[in-house]
Amino acid sequence: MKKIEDLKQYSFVIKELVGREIKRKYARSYLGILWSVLNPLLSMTVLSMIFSTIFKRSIENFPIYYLTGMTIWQLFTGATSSAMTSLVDNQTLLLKVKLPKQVFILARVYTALVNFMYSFIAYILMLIVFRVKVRVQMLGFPIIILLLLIFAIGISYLLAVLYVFFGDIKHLYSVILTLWMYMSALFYPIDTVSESLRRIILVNPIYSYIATARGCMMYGQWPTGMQWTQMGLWAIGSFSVGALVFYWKQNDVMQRM
Amino acid sequence: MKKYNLVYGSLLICIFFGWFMLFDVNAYAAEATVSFGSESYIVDNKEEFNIGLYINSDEVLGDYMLTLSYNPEKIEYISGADVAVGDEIVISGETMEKTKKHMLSFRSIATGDTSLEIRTISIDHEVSSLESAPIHVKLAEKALLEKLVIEPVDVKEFSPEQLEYELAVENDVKELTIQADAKGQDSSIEISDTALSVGMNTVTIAVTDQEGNSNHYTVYAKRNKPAEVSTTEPVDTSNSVSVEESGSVMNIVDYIIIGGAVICVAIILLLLTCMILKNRRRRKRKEVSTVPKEKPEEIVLTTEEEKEPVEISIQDVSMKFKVATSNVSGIKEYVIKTLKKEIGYREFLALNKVSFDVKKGEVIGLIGTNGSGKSTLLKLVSGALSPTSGKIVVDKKKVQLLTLGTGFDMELTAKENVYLNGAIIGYSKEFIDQKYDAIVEMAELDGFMEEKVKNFSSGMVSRLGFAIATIHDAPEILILDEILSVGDIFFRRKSEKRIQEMIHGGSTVLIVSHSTGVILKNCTKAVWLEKGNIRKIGDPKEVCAAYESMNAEK
Repeated sequence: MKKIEDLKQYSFVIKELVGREIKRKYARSYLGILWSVLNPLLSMTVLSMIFSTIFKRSIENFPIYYLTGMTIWQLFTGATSSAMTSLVDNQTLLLKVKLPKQVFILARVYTALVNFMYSFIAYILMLIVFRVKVRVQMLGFPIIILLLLIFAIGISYLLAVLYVFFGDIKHLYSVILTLWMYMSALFYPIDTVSESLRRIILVNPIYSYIATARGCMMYGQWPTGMQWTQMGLWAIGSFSVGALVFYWKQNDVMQRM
Repeated sequence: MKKYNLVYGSLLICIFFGWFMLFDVNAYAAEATVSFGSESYIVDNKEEFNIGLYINSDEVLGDYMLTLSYNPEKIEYISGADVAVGDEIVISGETMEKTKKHMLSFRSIATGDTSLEIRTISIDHEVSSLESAPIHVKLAEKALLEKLVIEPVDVKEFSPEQLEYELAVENDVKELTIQADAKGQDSSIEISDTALSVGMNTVTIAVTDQEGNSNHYTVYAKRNKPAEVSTTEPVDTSNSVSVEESGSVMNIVDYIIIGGAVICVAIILLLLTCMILKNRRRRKRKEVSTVPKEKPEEIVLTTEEEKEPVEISIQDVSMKFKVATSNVSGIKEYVIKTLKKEIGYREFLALNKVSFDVKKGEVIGLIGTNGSGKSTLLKLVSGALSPTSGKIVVDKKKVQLLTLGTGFDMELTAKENVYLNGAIIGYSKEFIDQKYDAIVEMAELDGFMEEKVKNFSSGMVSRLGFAIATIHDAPEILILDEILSVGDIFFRRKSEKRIQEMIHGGSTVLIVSHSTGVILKNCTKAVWLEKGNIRKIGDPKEVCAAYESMNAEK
């Protein structure tokens, strides 16, 4: 019973922290929370205009192809790179309040998810504009996002602990993210790259989430059993490694602060 | 103001959508079709023929470019296109008209069915169809086969008119035996190599009559892969086969990308090994350092009255912090110094073998100069830190640490901060809803709650912090970290009253303060910490007097 109450309390804390992050982001603008939808909508329009003139013939419905990948990619990078600094940012709070430290990381990941939801509204508008058919397979999309989130939480745990000990990780990670982005086939079809490169991309966990999401949203394909296992294993593996490392290093982290 | 925001917002979205729809119409309304002069072509062997290619659009065509491909073993390109490379021909141009016609000339060179296919189209319009033109080159009557027998697997349905056959054979079949008879008695038959390799093989049977006309029969034989591989991992093997084929195509960019990835992985590995090395060394040092440090000077609190149960028991608690002596500012330096074993840590002893017990209902005051270890002790008791050695026995669930304005966000309004701060301290949403008015009243901030905290005076902020922190009923163990002496004199009186209420509610209280006044007024026992050691413990009056006299000496 006590456990359930605690969990309820933690979810309340997370909600409040997320509220803070989002209100802060648009605190000084007139349109406020509207920017959350406007921003992705406008940037998606610009991108789809650019890409539909450049890559017009190579992929069917290129803007949607690109946007599906991009929103998912932004969810992942937003979650991991903000969660990375969460422990250091909330240093004073951590020392004074008896909350599980995971709360701060989860709050950042959740913030990224809320931002993703706003982008998703814009994404749906784009789907309507480009006349993408509604299919049953689209129901697979939330499950894929859930698995991706679990994967991102695991990575966030690792990064947050690492960042406490090495501030350099922040800069290194942004470089890695750039490389990772180009390896995720966000704006090119995977058939156009050479065989060796394709094998790396196929191993890339983010690509597996992006590819299956595209399958669900654009082509009406359920992910295959192989893809489900791949996504599931990445999620569980990353989460358990991250959570374990976080648990082991908890005390070192506190001392370091 | 908020109403205007919505109006602006919806206006912006409307403009945006209107414009976007326009853009949409421009880009997708114009449609073009590419088609051939007739649906199919039937020609004699070794004959020249023309194929008409039509591009139609409902608007001006502008620039266009088409790529077509054909089978060079069957037909030969003569003229009509702009560029011809290998089996592809390219037609390009620019026109201000809506339709464009191109005439392409070919010559047939072998009998059978083939086609001219459109590979790519690039026009500034939507293209409705990609077509191909089937071409049938008439067969040479006298050069037809009458009988075709292939061993060990025969073709399913042989007919003289059909020129192409497909076969699938097991892995152990290494060669085909082909027996063919022509209709015309004097026709000659030529059979190409019949040895099979794993994968797709093509065997051609060329039949030529006396006049030199010939038909080419083709057998596509697929030899299966070894059985055990194909059952276990079909995906992998197909990959490796295709890799062998295209292995040589790997270009420089790939190498660069792979190289980059390898370097990144290497850096991460290096960091990890450094961390592991460091940890191991630290552990060794810890083992060494803990053994000889057995100082005899232990301060044990003599307990006079044993009636009340012990609520907090602090036994031999030491807390060490490691402070890096050489300041490392980057990975490169870090790696170099770790490898040279130059990174040293100065150990800073914040608490040294501190022991005392707190009984239920006691009010303990902690005094000491800055850096004497008071706050560290509180963090240990509240469970934010774990001690390096020693033990603290306390029920952490009962502990409530009151601090002012932890997690206040200056960009948020006071109301939002009440919820945020309350949540962090550990209040549930229902509790805050219920006590919200009481908090506002206590903080004397009625009418300011929708304002951003950054516009508050520092007194207002601390009043709000105090109100939130103390609104809850007194917990069993209360820890107050510099919470008193807040706001103006009137509020201070109010806050002291509230603290008194909480103290007399039967809580066990730990108070940290620089002011001996606070300690004298509230506490039943005082502890004086100096550089991590207990200097004096006991009656507040005595301890405070000793503390003040020491400060006076300085």
